[in-house]
Amino acid sequence: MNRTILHVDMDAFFAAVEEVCDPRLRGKPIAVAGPGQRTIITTASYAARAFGVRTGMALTEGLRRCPELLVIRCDHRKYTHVSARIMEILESFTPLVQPYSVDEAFLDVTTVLDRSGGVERLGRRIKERVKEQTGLSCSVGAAPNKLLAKLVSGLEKPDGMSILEPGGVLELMERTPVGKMCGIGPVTQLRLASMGIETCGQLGRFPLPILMGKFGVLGHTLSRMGRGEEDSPVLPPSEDNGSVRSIGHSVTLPRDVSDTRTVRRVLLTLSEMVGRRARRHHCSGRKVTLTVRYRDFTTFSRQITLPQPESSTNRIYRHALRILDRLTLTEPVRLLGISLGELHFGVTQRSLLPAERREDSLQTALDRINDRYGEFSLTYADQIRDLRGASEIISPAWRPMGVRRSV
Amino acid sequence: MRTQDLHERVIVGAVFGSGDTIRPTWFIWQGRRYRISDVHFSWAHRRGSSTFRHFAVSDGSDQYELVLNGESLIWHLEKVGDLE
Repeated sequence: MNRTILHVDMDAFFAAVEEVCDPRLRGKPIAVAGPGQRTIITTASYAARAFGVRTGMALTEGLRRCPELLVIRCDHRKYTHVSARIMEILESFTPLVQPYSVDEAFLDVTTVLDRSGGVERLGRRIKERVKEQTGLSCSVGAAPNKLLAKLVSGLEKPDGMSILEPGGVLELMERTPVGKMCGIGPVTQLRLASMGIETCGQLGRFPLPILMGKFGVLGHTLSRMGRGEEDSPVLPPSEDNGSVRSIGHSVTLPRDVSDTRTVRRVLLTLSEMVGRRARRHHCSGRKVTLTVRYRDFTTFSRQITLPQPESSTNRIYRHALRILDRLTLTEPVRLLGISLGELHFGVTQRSLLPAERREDSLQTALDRINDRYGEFSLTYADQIRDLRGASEIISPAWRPMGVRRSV
Repeated sequence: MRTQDLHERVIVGAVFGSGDTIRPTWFIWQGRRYRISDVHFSWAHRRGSSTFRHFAVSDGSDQYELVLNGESLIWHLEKVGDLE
């Protein structure tokens, strides 16, 4: 049975939400950006895009291209609320909804098509319902799998609806540049170009042994992508915890820092964010990874494997410091990140050491107070100055529920 | 776009309708009464066990964000913005 997958992608999501909140902004060039001096543009309205303003661009560059650009400070609480509402709307059409990021989702509508009057009618109804209940427009792509649904949802943005029938796949692949496919980034694109591969059609026909020689097992995936083949299921968040491999947080610092005291303070904040999320979802991890990015964007990670899974803030922090102590920071630091990997879900063994048991009791008391009064209501004195803006960016891994709900 | 973050306590007149609908209709800020002509959007966020309801409203010229703490029932004027 041929599957029918929809990819629903909100149009310039953050900017569109701001336009709904303040209708005077409609049609004006606006950019939604984080706080701070060296922020990047997280979303530009279509009017701003006409001036060459793009997502991911430094705000200073955006203002240079469009001096009349209206800059709105990113309000993630607003966007995550609207996102959760949109996911609820999508779930009223099928339970098989997989949020892919804060503003896009996959729907497996294979079994509901007959009673919905066909894919075009269903897609239009979804668009209408989202518009009616949120005031926002979205683009919908329909195709036999997730890879192609995502590709075609971008063909007629904004407010578009594109349907790719199984019979049209090869023809579309023939003229689609490889860089348009989700999962083929600029580096892979360059490597493929050096082999004379520019389009998906060329990629799909390229001899598999050579591809595998160049890319290893990824060569097989690339070959299938070139032919538009992909068969991963649409996984609702309730079934998706198994694919969560790590819990992590990172922060771009307001300014580059060299002193280890500041670095340590930020690591404590990140350890609390990671540990808190792990404890809330009853999981712990055996691997702590520290990520450092220098001001020249050189980025590296170091990890440590723990004797047993941990979720305590203090112990995650101590292990992060062990990693830090083995490093020599040769440049000022721009970004720091901590993640907890090799996750174990469910009940974990309580420590038998009295000192750790006291620490765990203190942690439990802190968690209860913060559950009642909000995150960081009671925290380490050192953290206070670092909290503002600590979670201003919505991670691409954000989900409206479950372990990935990080903001 | 100028947006000022305020977080100032204000007095708000609101209609609590059926279900959980709330429609603020006026507010008093710094001794002046503002009539709300439009409620453009509302959203909520949780902090601890409290739910905060946000309302993007307009008095016909400027834009305001009012926030109701669902536990204490205290209103704050969170932001005010104009296009100049």
